[in-house]
Amino acid sequence: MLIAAITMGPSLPVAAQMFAPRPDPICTTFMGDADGGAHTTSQPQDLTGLSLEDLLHEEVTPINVLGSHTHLKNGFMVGYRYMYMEMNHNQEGTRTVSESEVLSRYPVVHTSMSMEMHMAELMYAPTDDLTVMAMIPYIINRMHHLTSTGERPFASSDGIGDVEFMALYNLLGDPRAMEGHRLVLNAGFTAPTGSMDESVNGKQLEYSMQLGSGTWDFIPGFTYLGQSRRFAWGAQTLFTVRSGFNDRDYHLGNKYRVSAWLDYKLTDWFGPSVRLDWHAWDKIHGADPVLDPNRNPAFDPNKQAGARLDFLAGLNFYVPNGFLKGTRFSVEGGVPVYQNISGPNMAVDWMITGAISYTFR
Amino acid sequence: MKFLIKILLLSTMGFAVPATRAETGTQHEYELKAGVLYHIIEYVDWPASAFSNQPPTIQIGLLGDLPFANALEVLNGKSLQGRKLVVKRLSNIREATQCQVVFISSSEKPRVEEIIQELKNQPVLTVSEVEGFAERGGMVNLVAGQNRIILEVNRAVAGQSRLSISSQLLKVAKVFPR
Repeated sequence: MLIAAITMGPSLPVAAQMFAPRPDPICTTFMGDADGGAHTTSQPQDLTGLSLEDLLHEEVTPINVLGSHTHLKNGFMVGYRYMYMEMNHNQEGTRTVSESEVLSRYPVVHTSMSMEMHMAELMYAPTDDLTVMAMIPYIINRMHHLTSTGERPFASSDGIGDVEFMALYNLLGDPRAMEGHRLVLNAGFTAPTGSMDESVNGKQLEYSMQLGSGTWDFIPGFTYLGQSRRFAWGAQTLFTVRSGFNDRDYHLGNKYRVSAWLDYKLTDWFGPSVRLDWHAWDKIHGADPVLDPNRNPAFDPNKQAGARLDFLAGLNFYVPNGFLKGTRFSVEGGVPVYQNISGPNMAVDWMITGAISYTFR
Repeated sequence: MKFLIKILLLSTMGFAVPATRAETGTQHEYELKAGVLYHIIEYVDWPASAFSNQPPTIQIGLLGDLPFANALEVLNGKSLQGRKLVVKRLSNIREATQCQVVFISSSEKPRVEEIIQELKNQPVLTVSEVEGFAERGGMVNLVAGQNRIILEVNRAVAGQSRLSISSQLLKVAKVFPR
Protein backbone atom coordinates (compact mmCIF):
# COMPACT_ATOMS: atom_id res chain seq x y z
CA MET A 1 0.00 0.00 0.00
CA LEU A 2 1.07 2.75 -0.95
CA ILE A 3 0.20 4.94 1.61
CA ALA A 4 0.99 8.31 2.58
CA ALA A 5 0.69 11.43 3.91
CA ILE A 6 -1.74 13.47 2.85
CA THR A 7 0.87 15.64 2.53
CA MET A 8 1.72 18.20 0.70
CA GLY A 9 5.13 19.10 0.91
CA PRO A 10 6.56 21.51 3.26
CA SER A 11 6.20 25.12 2.55
CA LEU A 12 9.12 25.71 0.32
CA PRO A 13 10.69 28.65 -1.35
CA VAL A 14 9.68 29.60 -4.83
CA ALA A 15 11.18 26.84 -6.88
CA ALA A 16 10.91 24.25 -4.19
CA GLN A 17 7.26 24.80 -3.77
CA MET A 18 6.81 23.38 -7.21
CA PHE A 19 8.26 20.25 -5.82
CA ALA A 20 5.84 19.03 -3.24
CA PRO A 21 5.74 15.34 -2.48
CA ARG A 22 2.71 13.39 -3.49
CA PRO A 23 -0.07 12.94 -1.09
CA ASP A 24 0.98 9.55 -1.60
CA PRO A 25 -0.05 6.20 -1.36
CA ILE A 26 3.49 5.72 -1.16
CA CYS A 27 4.52 7.10 2.01
CA THR A 28 1.81 6.78 4.26
CA THR A 29 0.38 3.94 5.66
CA PHE A 30 -2.35 2.06 5.14
CA MET A 31 -4.54 -0.52 5.82
CA GLY A 32 -6.75 -1.94 3.42
CA ASP A 33 -6.59 -5.52 2.74
CA ALA A 34 -8.01 -5.67 -0.65
CA ASP A 35 -8.39 -9.37 -0.46
CA GLY A 36 -9.89 -8.98 2.90
CA GLY A 37 -12.45 -6.66 1.50
CA ALA A 38 -16.03 -7.19 2.34
CA HIS A 39 -17.66 -10.06 0.55
CA THR A 40 -14.62 -11.07 -1.33
CA THR A 41 -14.85 -14.52 -2.81
CA SER A 42 -11.20 -15.47 -2.78
CA GLN A 43 -10.15 -18.80 -1.30
CA PRO A 44 -9.88 -18.39 2.49
CA GLN A 45 -6.54 -19.00 4.13
CA ASP A 46 -6.20 -21.78 6.67
CA LEU A 47 -4.53 -20.19 9.70
CA THR A 48 -4.93 -23.10 12.11
CA GLY A 49 -1.21 -23.76 11.82
CA LEU A 50 -0.51 -20.52 13.70
CA SER A 51 -0.36 -20.58 17.47
CA LEU A 52 -3.18 -19.05 19.47
CA GLU A 53 -0.86 -16.30 20.64
CA ASP A 54 0.14 -15.48 17.07
CA LEU A 55 -3.47 -15.41 15.92
CA LEU A 56 -4.38 -13.00 18.70
CA HIS A 57 -1.54 -10.73 17.62
CA GLU A 58 -2.39 -10.74 13.92
CA GLU A 59 -3.90 -7.58 12.50
CA VAL A 60 -7.54 -7.87 11.51
CA THR A 61 -6.91 -5.25 8.85
CA PRO A 62 -3.44 -5.85 7.53
CA ILE A 63 -1.66 -3.21 5.55
CA ASN A 64 -0.74 -3.93 1.97
CA VAL A 65 0.59 -2.21 -1.08
CA LEU A 66 -2.41 0.05 -1.49
CA GLY A 67 -2.09 2.96 0.81
CA SER A 68 -4.36 5.28 2.55
CA HIS A 69 -3.27 8.51 3.99
CA THR A 70 -4.16 8.15 7.57
CA HIS A 71 -3.50 5.58 10.22
CA LEU A 72 -5.60 3.64 12.66
CA LYS A 73 -5.54 4.32 16.38
CA ASN A 74 -2.07 3.99 17.93
CA GLY A 75 -0.48 3.54 14.51
CA PHE A 76 2.97 5.03 13.94
CA MET A 77 4.82 5.61 10.73
CA VAL A 78 8.38 6.70 10.25
CA GLY A 79 9.51 7.47 6.75
CA TYR A 80 12.27 8.88 4.64
CA ARG A 81 11.76 10.47 1.25
CA TYR A 82 14.23 11.63 -1.33
CA MET A 83 13.17 14.03 -4.06
CA TYR A 84 15.08 15.40 -6.99
CA MET A 85 13.96 17.96 -9.54
CA GLU A 86 15.87 19.12 -12.59
CA MET A 87 15.46 22.43 -14.43
CA ASN A 88 17.40 22.90 -17.64
CA HIS A 89 15.60 25.61 -19.58
CA ASN A 90 14.03 29.03 -19.15
CA GLN A 91 10.43 29.91 -19.84
CA GLU A 92 8.37 33.05 -20.00
CA GLY A 93 4.74 32.12 -19.80
CA THR A 94 4.50 28.88 -21.75
CA ARG A 95 7.22 29.87 -24.19
CA THR A 96 10.77 28.53 -23.95
CA VAL A 97 13.27 31.37 -23.91
CA SER A 98 16.83 30.91 -25.12
CA GLU A 99 19.83 31.91 -23.02
CA SER A 100 20.82 34.56 -25.58
CA GLU A 101 17.37 36.13 -25.42
CA VAL A 102 17.59 36.36 -21.63
CA LEU A 103 21.09 37.82 -21.90
CA SER A 104 19.79 40.47 -24.28
CA ARG A 105 17.57 41.70 -21.43
CA TYR A 106 19.59 40.88 -18.28
CA PRO A 107 23.30 40.62 -17.50
CA VAL A 108 22.85 37.04 -16.25
CA VAL A 109 20.88 33.92 -17.22
CA HIS A 110 20.39 30.69 -15.30
CA THR A 111 21.47 27.71 -17.33
CA SER A 112 20.40 24.92 -14.98
CA MET A 113 19.15 24.31 -11.50
CA SER A 114 18.62 21.19 -9.41
CA MET A 115 16.78 20.76 -6.18
CA GLU A 116 17.25 17.83 -3.86
CA MET A 117 15.34 17.14 -0.72
CA HIS A 118 15.84 14.57 2.02
CA MET A 119 12.79 14.43 4.20
CA ALA A 120 12.05 12.65 7.46
CA GLU A 121 8.38 11.94 8.04
CA LEU A 122 6.66 10.95 11.26
CA MET A 123 2.99 10.09 11.65
CA TYR A 124 0.95 9.05 14.66
CA ALA A 125 -2.75 8.34 15.04
CA PRO A 126 -4.12 9.00 18.56
CA THR A 127 -7.54 7.87 17.31
CA ASP A 128 -8.94 6.25 14.18
CA ASP A 129 -10.23 9.64 13.05
CA LEU A 130 -7.14 11.72 13.73
CA THR A 131 -3.62 11.39 12.38
CA VAL A 132 -0.92 13.92 13.11
CA MET A 133 2.30 14.21 11.22
CA ALA A 134 5.55 16.11 11.05
CA MET A 135 7.91 16.49 8.11
CA ILE A 136 11.46 17.71 8.41
CA PRO A 137 13.14 18.57 5.10
CA TYR A 138 16.81 18.97 4.31
CA ILE A 139 17.21 20.86 1.04
CA ILE A 140 20.11 21.12 -1.38
CA ASN A 141 19.87 23.65 -4.22
CA ARG A 142 22.36 24.07 -7.01
CA MET A 143 22.28 26.72 -9.74
CA HIS A 144 24.49 27.40 -12.74
CA HIS A 145 24.64 30.85 -14.32
CA LEU A 146 26.01 32.44 -17.48
CA THR A 147 26.86 36.12 -17.50
CA SER A 148 26.95 38.48 -20.46
CA THR A 149 30.75 38.59 -20.05
CA GLY A 150 30.98 34.82 -20.52
CA GLU A 151 31.57 33.81 -16.91
CA ARG A 152 29.81 30.72 -15.54
CA PRO A 153 29.34 31.19 -11.79
CA PHE A 154 27.92 28.36 -9.69
CA ALA A 155 25.92 28.77 -6.50
CA SER A 156 24.52 26.31 -4.00
CA SER A 157 22.66 26.34 -0.75
CA ASP A 158 21.75 23.60 1.64
CA GLY A 159 20.23 23.12 5.07
CA ILE A 160 17.04 22.40 6.96
CA GLY A 161 13.90 23.72 5.31
CA ASP A 162 10.66 24.73 6.94
CA VAL A 163 9.35 22.01 9.24
CA GLU A 164 5.74 21.14 8.60
CA PHE A 165 3.09 19.85 10.97
CA MET A 166 -0.30 18.61 9.91
CA ALA A 167 -3.42 17.10 11.39
CA LEU A 168 -5.63 14.87 9.25
CA TYR A 169 -9.15 14.52 10.55
CA ASN A 170 -11.60 12.02 9.11
CA LEU A 171 -14.84 13.82 8.33
CA LEU A 172 -16.75 11.22 6.37
CA GLY A 173 -16.43 7.49 5.86
CA ASP A 174 -15.03 4.71 7.99
CA PRO A 175 -11.23 4.64 8.39
CA ARG A 176 -11.41 0.88 9.03
CA ALA A 177 -13.53 0.05 6.01
CA MET A 178 -11.87 -1.98 3.32
CA GLU A 179 -13.85 -0.34 0.56
CA GLY A 180 -15.70 2.92 0.13
CA HIS A 181 -15.12 6.63 0.29
CA ARG A 182 -13.69 9.02 2.80
CA LEU A 183 -13.27 12.73 3.20
CA VAL A 184 -10.39 14.02 5.29
CA LEU A 185 -9.79 17.54 6.56
CA ASN A 186 -6.18 18.74 6.38
CA ALA A 187 -5.05 21.39 8.80
CA GLY A 188 -1.36 22.14 8.85
CA PHE A 189 1.26 24.80 9.24
CA THR A 190 4.95 25.27 8.66
CA ALA A 191 7.39 26.83 11.07
CA PRO A 192 10.00 29.18 9.60
CA THR A 193 12.95 26.94 10.36
CA GLY A 194 14.52 27.23 6.91
CA SER A 195 17.07 29.92 6.16
CA MET A 196 16.20 32.84 3.86
CA ASP A 197 19.65 34.36 4.23
CA GLU A 198 21.52 32.02 1.91
CA SER A 199 24.36 33.80 0.17
CA VAL A 200 27.62 33.19 -1.68
CA ASN A 201 30.62 35.42 -1.00
CA GLY A 202 28.35 37.76 0.91
CA LYS A 203 25.91 38.12 -1.97
CA GLN A 204 22.30 37.16 -1.24
CA LEU A 205 21.09 34.33 -3.45
CA GLU A 206 17.91 34.26 -5.51
CA TYR A 207 14.52 33.75 -3.85
CA SER A 208 14.42 30.29 -5.40
CA MET A 209 17.71 29.33 -3.75
CA GLN A 210 16.51 30.08 -0.23
CA LEU A 211 15.65 27.19 2.08
CA GLY A 212 12.64 28.60 3.90
CA SER A 213 9.84 31.08 3.53
CA GLY A 214 10.66 33.01 6.68
CA THR A 215 6.98 33.12 7.62
CA TRP A 216 4.54 30.93 9.48
CA ASP A 217 2.41 29.41 6.74
CA PHE A 218 -0.96 27.75 7.15
CA ILE A 219 -2.05 24.81 5.06
CA PRO A 220 -5.77 24.02 5.06
CA GLY A 221 -7.28 21.54 2.63
CA PHE A 222 -9.38 18.48 1.97
CA THR A 223 -8.52 15.01 0.78
CA TYR A 224 -10.92 12.57 -0.80
CA LEU A 225 -9.97 8.89 -0.63
CA GLY A 226 -11.64 6.03 -2.40
CA GLN A 227 -10.82 2.38 -2.25
CA SER A 228 -12.05 -0.82 -3.78
CA ARG A 229 -10.70 -4.33 -3.75
CA ARG A 230 -8.02 -3.62 -6.34
CA PHE A 231 -7.85 0.15 -6.63
CA ALA A 232 -7.19 3.12 -4.41
CA TRP A 233 -7.80 6.59 -5.74
CA GLY A 234 -8.09 10.05 -4.38
CA ALA A 235 -7.89 13.76 -4.84
CA GLN A 236 -6.54 16.49 -2.68
CA THR A 237 -6.73 20.23 -2.60
CA LEU A 238 -4.44 22.29 -0.40
CA PHE A 239 -3.83 25.98 0.07
CA THR A 240 -0.65 27.40 1.48
CA VAL A 241 -1.43 30.75 3.04
CA ARG A 242 1.44 32.97 4.16
CA SER A 243 1.16 35.06 7.27
CA GLY A 244 2.89 38.42 7.54
CA PHE A 245 6.30 39.30 6.13
CA ASN A 246 9.64 37.76 6.92
CA ASP A 247 12.72 39.55 8.23
CA ARG A 248 13.79 40.37 4.68
CA ASP A 249 10.59 42.32 4.03
CA TYR A 250 8.77 39.91 1.75
CA HIS A 251 6.57 36.86 1.83
CA LEU A 252 6.27 34.14 -0.77
CA GLY A 253 3.08 33.97 -2.78
CA ASN A 254 0.20 31.83 -1.62
CA LYS A 255 0.08 28.42 -3.22
CA TYR A 256 -2.78 26.29 -4.45
CA ARG A 257 -2.46 22.66 -5.19
CA VAL A 258 -4.82 20.02 -6.57
CA SER A 259 -3.78 16.48 -7.23
CA ALA A 260 -5.54 13.27 -8.18
CA TRP A 261 -4.16 9.76 -8.21
CA LEU A 262 -4.99 6.18 -8.96
CA ASP A 263 -3.21 3.15 -7.52
CA TYR A 264 -3.69 -0.41 -8.64
CA LYS A 265 -2.93 -3.38 -6.42
CA LEU A 266 -1.40 -5.91 -8.76
CA THR A 267 -0.42 -8.15 -5.85
CA ASP A 268 -0.40 -7.70 -2.07
CA TRP A 269 3.16 -6.47 -2.32
CA PHE A 270 3.29 -4.52 -5.57
CA GLY A 271 1.21 -1.88 -7.28
CA PRO A 272 1.78 0.80 -9.91
CA SER A 273 0.26 4.27 -9.62
CA VAL A 274 -0.37 7.35 -11.72
CA ARG A 275 -0.94 10.89 -10.56
CA LEU A 276 -1.75 14.33 -11.91
CA ASP A 277 -0.49 17.21 -9.82
CA TRP A 278 -1.47 20.83 -10.36
CA HIS A 279 0.36 23.66 -8.61
CA ALA A 280 -0.24 27.35 -8.89
CA TRP A 281 1.67 29.93 -6.91
CA ASP A 282 1.38 33.66 -6.64
CA LYS A 283 4.12 36.26 -7.01
CA ILE A 284 6.20 37.37 -4.04
CA HIS A 285 4.81 40.23 -2.02
CA GLY A 286 7.28 42.83 -0.87
CA ALA A 287 10.92 42.46 -1.87
CA ASP A 288 14.31 41.64 -0.45
CA PRO A 289 15.96 45.08 -0.53
CA VAL A 290 19.38 43.73 -1.53
CA LEU A 291 18.13 41.95 -4.67
CA ASP A 292 18.07 44.15 -7.78
CA PRO A 293 15.32 42.95 -10.13
CA ASN A 294 17.04 44.61 -13.09
CA ARG A 295 20.11 42.39 -12.74
CA ASN A 296 18.47 38.97 -12.61
CA PRO A 297 14.91 37.87 -13.37
CA ALA A 298 15.10 35.55 -10.33
CA PHE A 299 15.60 38.67 -8.19
CA ASP A 300 12.27 40.13 -9.36
CA PRO A 301 9.41 39.44 -6.91
CA ASN A 302 6.88 40.10 -9.66
CA LYS A 303 8.32 37.30 -11.78
CA GLN A 304 7.97 34.50 -9.26
CA ALA A 305 4.43 33.36 -9.99
CA GLY A 306 3.50 30.31 -12.01
CA ALA A 307 1.40 27.23 -12.54
CA ARG A 308 2.29 23.71 -13.55
CA LEU A 309 0.63 20.40 -14.22
CA ASP A 310 2.76 17.31 -13.69
CA PHE A 311 2.08 13.77 -14.81
CA LEU A 312 3.73 11.18 -12.58
CA ALA A 313 3.93 7.41 -12.59
CA GLY A 314 5.04 5.31 -9.64
CA LEU A 315 5.93 1.82 -8.51
CA ASN A 316 5.06 0.82 -4.99
CA PHE A 317 6.23 -2.14 -2.96
CA TYR A 318 5.15 -3.51 0.38
CA VAL A 319 6.89 -6.13 2.53
CA PRO A 320 4.12 -8.37 3.90
CA ASN A 321 6.25 -10.79 5.95
CA GLY A 322 9.52 -11.19 7.78
CA PHE A 323 11.42 -8.69 9.84
CA LEU A 324 10.77 -5.93 7.31
CA LYS A 325 6.99 -6.45 7.52
CA GLY A 326 5.23 -3.11 7.42
CA THR A 327 7.88 -1.51 5.21
CA ARG A 328 6.95 0.24 2.01
CA PHE A 329 9.19 1.35 -0.81
CA SER A 330 8.12 3.51 -3.66
CA VAL A 331 9.56 5.39 -6.56
CA GLU A 332 7.71 7.95 -8.63
CA GLY A 333 8.91 9.95 -11.59
CA GLY A 334 7.24 12.60 -13.67
CA VAL A 335 7.37 15.41 -16.16
CA PRO A 336 5.41 18.63 -16.49
CA VAL A 337 2.73 18.49 -19.17
CA TYR A 338 1.97 22.18 -18.77
CA GLN A 339 3.98 25.08 -17.34
CA ASN A 340 3.19 28.73 -17.31
CA ILE A 341 5.65 30.80 -15.32
CA SER A 342 6.49 34.42 -14.94
CA GLY A 343 9.89 34.93 -16.35
CA PRO A 344 12.16 34.45 -17.93
CA ASN A 345 12.92 31.94 -15.18
CA MET A 346 13.91 28.32 -14.82
CA ALA A 347 11.27 25.76 -15.72
CA VAL A 348 11.06 22.15 -14.61
CA ASP A 349 12.16 19.32 -16.92
CA TRP A 350 11.64 16.25 -14.79
CA MET A 351 11.46 14.99 -11.22
CA ILE A 352 11.81 11.77 -9.30
CA THR A 353 10.96 10.70 -5.77
CA GLY A 354 11.93 7.65 -3.75
CA ALA A 355 10.40 6.84 -0.40
CA ILE A 356 10.63 4.24 2.31
CA SER A 357 8.36 4.04 5.30
CA TYR A 358 7.78 1.70 8.18
CA THR A 359 4.43 1.40 9.86
CA PHE A 360 3.78 -0.21 13.22
CA ARG A 361 1.40 -0.19 16.15
CA MET B 1 -20.19 19.22 15.95
CA LYS B 2 -18.87 16.53 13.64
CA PHE B 3 -22.42 15.83 12.51
CA LEU B 4 -22.93 19.50 11.70
CA ILE B 5 -19.72 19.56 9.70
CA LYS B 6 -20.87 16.55 7.73
CA ILE B 7 -24.26 18.08 7.00
CA LEU B 8 -22.63 21.32 5.96
CA LEU B 9 -20.22 19.57 3.65
CA LEU B 10 -22.86 17.38 2.10
CA SER B 11 -25.17 20.28 1.49
CA THR B 12 -22.54 22.61 0.11
CA MET B 13 -20.63 20.10 -1.94
CA GLY B 14 -23.44 17.91 -3.15
CA PHE B 15 -21.22 15.14 -2.04
CA ALA B 16 -22.89 11.86 -1.33
CA VAL B 17 -20.60 9.52 0.49
CA PRO B 18 -21.63 5.90 0.33
CA ALA B 19 -19.16 4.87 2.98
CA THR B 20 -18.94 1.14 3.23
CA ARG B 21 -19.17 0.21 6.88
CA ALA B 22 -17.15 -2.75 7.90
CA GLU B 23 -19.89 -4.09 10.15
CA THR B 24 -19.75 -7.47 8.54
CA GLY B 25 -16.02 -7.74 9.00
CA THR B 26 -13.58 -9.00 6.43
CA GLN B 27 -12.53 -12.35 5.15
CA HIS B 28 -9.23 -12.04 6.96
CA GLU B 29 -11.02 -11.36 10.23
CA TYR B 30 -12.91 -14.65 9.86
CA GLU B 31 -9.79 -16.51 8.84
CA LEU B 32 -8.31 -15.40 12.15
CA LYS B 33 -11.49 -16.33 14.03
CA ALA B 34 -11.43 -19.78 12.45
CA GLY B 35 -7.84 -20.26 13.60
CA VAL B 36 -8.68 -19.09 17.12
CA LEU B 37 -11.77 -21.31 17.24
CA TYR B 38 -9.65 -24.29 16.26
CA HIS B 39 -7.35 -23.73 19.26
CA ILE B 40 -10.29 -23.09 21.58
CA ILE B 41 -11.72 -26.51 20.73
CA GLU B 42 -8.30 -27.97 21.41
CA TYR B 43 -8.41 -26.55 24.94
CA VAL B 44 -11.98 -27.52 25.91
CA ASP B 45 -13.09 -30.83 27.42
CA TRP B 46 -16.69 -31.91 26.99
CA PRO B 47 -18.47 -34.40 29.23
CA ALA B 48 -18.81 -37.83 27.63
CA SER B 49 -22.57 -37.30 27.43
CA ALA B 50 -22.02 -34.50 24.93
CA PHE B 51 -21.02 -36.98 22.26
CA SER B 52 -23.69 -39.27 21.00
CA ASN B 53 -22.68 -39.18 17.40
CA GLN B 54 -20.91 -41.99 15.59
CA PRO B 55 -18.42 -41.85 13.97
CA PRO B 56 -16.73 -39.60 16.54
CA THR B 57 -17.05 -35.97 15.47
CA ILE B 58 -17.17 -32.51 16.94
CA GLN B 59 -20.08 -30.70 15.32
CA ILE B 60 -19.63 -26.95 14.83
CA GLY B 61 -22.87 -25.15 14.03
CA LEU B 62 -22.90 -21.70 12.42
CA LEU B 63 -25.90 -19.65 13.46
CA GLY B 64 -26.96 -16.44 11.75
CA ASP B 65 -25.76 -14.57 8.67
CA LEU B 66 -22.06 -15.06 8.04
CA PRO B 67 -20.83 -13.50 4.78
CA PHE B 68 -17.50 -15.23 5.31
CA ALA B 69 -18.77 -18.61 6.50
CA ASN B 70 -16.38 -20.20 4.02
CA ALA B 71 -13.49 -18.88 6.10
CA LEU B 72 -14.84 -20.84 9.11
CA GLU B 73 -15.47 -23.88 6.96
CA VAL B 74 -11.72 -24.45 6.58
CA LEU B 75 -12.08 -26.32 9.89
CA ASN B 76 -14.21 -28.94 8.17
CA GLY B 77 -12.48 -32.33 8.19
CA LYS B 78 -9.68 -31.40 10.59
CA SER B 79 -9.17 -33.65 13.61
CA LEU B 80 -8.96 -32.64 17.28
CA GLN B 81 -9.21 -34.78 20.39
CA GLY B 82 -9.46 -37.85 18.16
CA ARG B 83 -12.60 -36.51 16.52
CA LYS B 84 -13.22 -35.06 13.10
CA LEU B 85 -14.54 -31.48 12.96
CA VAL B 86 -17.77 -31.04 11.02
CA VAL B 87 -18.91 -27.51 10.21
CA LYS B 88 -22.56 -27.03 9.33
CA ARG B 89 -24.86 -24.06 8.92
CA LEU B 90 -27.87 -24.05 11.25
CA SER B 91 -31.27 -22.75 10.35
CA ASN B 92 -32.57 -22.47 13.92
CA ILE B 93 -31.43 -22.60 17.51
CA ARG B 94 -32.90 -26.03 18.17
CA GLU B 95 -30.37 -27.58 15.76
CA ALA B 96 -27.63 -26.12 17.94
CA THR B 97 -28.37 -28.61 20.72
CA GLN B 98 -27.06 -31.36 18.43
CA CYS B 99 -23.67 -29.63 18.20
CA GLN B 100 -20.70 -29.42 20.55
CA VAL B 101 -19.87 -25.89 19.39
CA VAL B 102 -22.13 -23.18 18.10
CA PHE B 103 -20.77 -20.00 16.51
CA ILE B 104 -23.32 -17.21 16.84
CA SER B 105 -22.95 -14.46 14.24
CA SER B 106 -23.29 -10.76 15.02
CA SER B 107 -26.52 -10.81 13.01
CA GLU B 108 -28.07 -12.63 16.00
CA LYS B 109 -27.34 -9.75 18.36
CA PRO B 110 -31.04 -9.02 19.04
CA ARG B 111 -31.62 -12.68 19.94
CA VAL B 112 -28.52 -13.35 22.00
CA GLU B 113 -30.36 -13.58 25.35
CA GLU B 114 -32.84 -16.02 23.88
CA ILE B 115 -30.05 -18.20 22.40
CA ILE B 116 -28.15 -18.21 25.69
CA GLN B 117 -31.28 -19.27 27.54
CA GLU B 118 -32.00 -22.01 25.03
CA LEU B 119 -28.53 -23.52 25.43
CA LYS B 120 -28.20 -22.90 29.16
CA ASN B 121 -26.66 -25.89 31.01
CA GLN B 122 -26.32 -27.85 27.76
CA PRO B 123 -22.82 -29.17 26.94
CA VAL B 124 -22.59 -26.86 23.95
CA LEU B 125 -19.70 -24.40 23.73
CA THR B 126 -21.27 -21.09 22.76
CA VAL B 127 -18.95 -18.83 20.77
CA SER B 128 -19.97 -15.44 19.45
CA GLU B 129 -18.73 -12.11 18.16
CA VAL B 130 -21.41 -9.95 19.75
CA GLU B 131 -20.03 -7.31 22.09
CA GLY B 132 -20.64 -8.22 25.74
CA PHE B 133 -21.52 -11.84 24.90
CA ALA B 134 -19.33 -13.38 27.61
CA GLU B 135 -20.58 -10.92 30.22
CA ARG B 136 -24.18 -11.66 29.33
CA GLY B 137 -23.92 -15.43 29.86
CA GLY B 138 -22.17 -16.66 26.72
CA MET B 139 -19.04 -18.79 27.05
CA VAL B 140 -16.55 -17.48 24.52
CA ASN B 141 -16.46 -14.22 22.62
CA LEU B 142 -14.21 -13.23 19.71
CA VAL B 143 -14.41 -9.49 19.27
CA ALA B 144 -12.36 -7.31 16.96
CA GLY B 145 -10.76 -4.50 18.92
CA GLN B 146 -7.64 -2.38 18.34
CA ASN B 147 -7.25 -4.20 15.05
CA ARG B 148 -6.77 -7.52 16.86
CA ILE B 149 -9.05 -10.38 17.84
CA ILE B 150 -9.78 -10.24 21.57
CA LEU B 151 -10.68 -13.49 23.28
CA GLU B 152 -13.16 -13.35 26.16
CA VAL B 153 -14.16 -16.39 28.20
CA ASN B 154 -16.84 -16.87 30.83
CA ARG B 155 -15.46 -19.77 32.80
CA ALA B 156 -18.39 -19.95 35.23
CA VAL B 157 -20.97 -20.39 32.47
CA ALA B 158 -18.85 -23.06 30.81
CA GLY B 159 -18.56 -24.84 34.15
CA GLN B 160 -22.34 -24.84 34.59
CA SER B 161 -22.53 -26.73 31.31
CA ARG B 162 -19.84 -29.18 32.50
CA LEU B 163 -17.29 -27.89 29.99
CA SER B 164 -13.76 -27.66 31.25
CA ILE B 165 -11.56 -24.93 29.82
CA SER B 166 -7.80 -25.35 30.00
CA SER B 167 -5.74 -22.82 31.88
CA GLN B 168 -3.67 -22.51 28.67
CA LEU B 169 -6.65 -20.86 27.03
CA LEU B 170 -7.54 -18.73 30.04
CA LYS B 171 -3.98 -17.40 30.08
CA VAL B 172 -4.50 -15.48 26.83
CA ALA B 173 -8.16 -14.60 27.41
CA LYS B 174 -10.05 -11.91 29.22
CA VAL B 175 -11.85 -14.01 31.82
CA PHE B 176 -15.34 -13.40 33.21
CA PRO B 177 -16.54 -13.12 35.89
CA ARG B 178 -13.52 -11.08 36.94
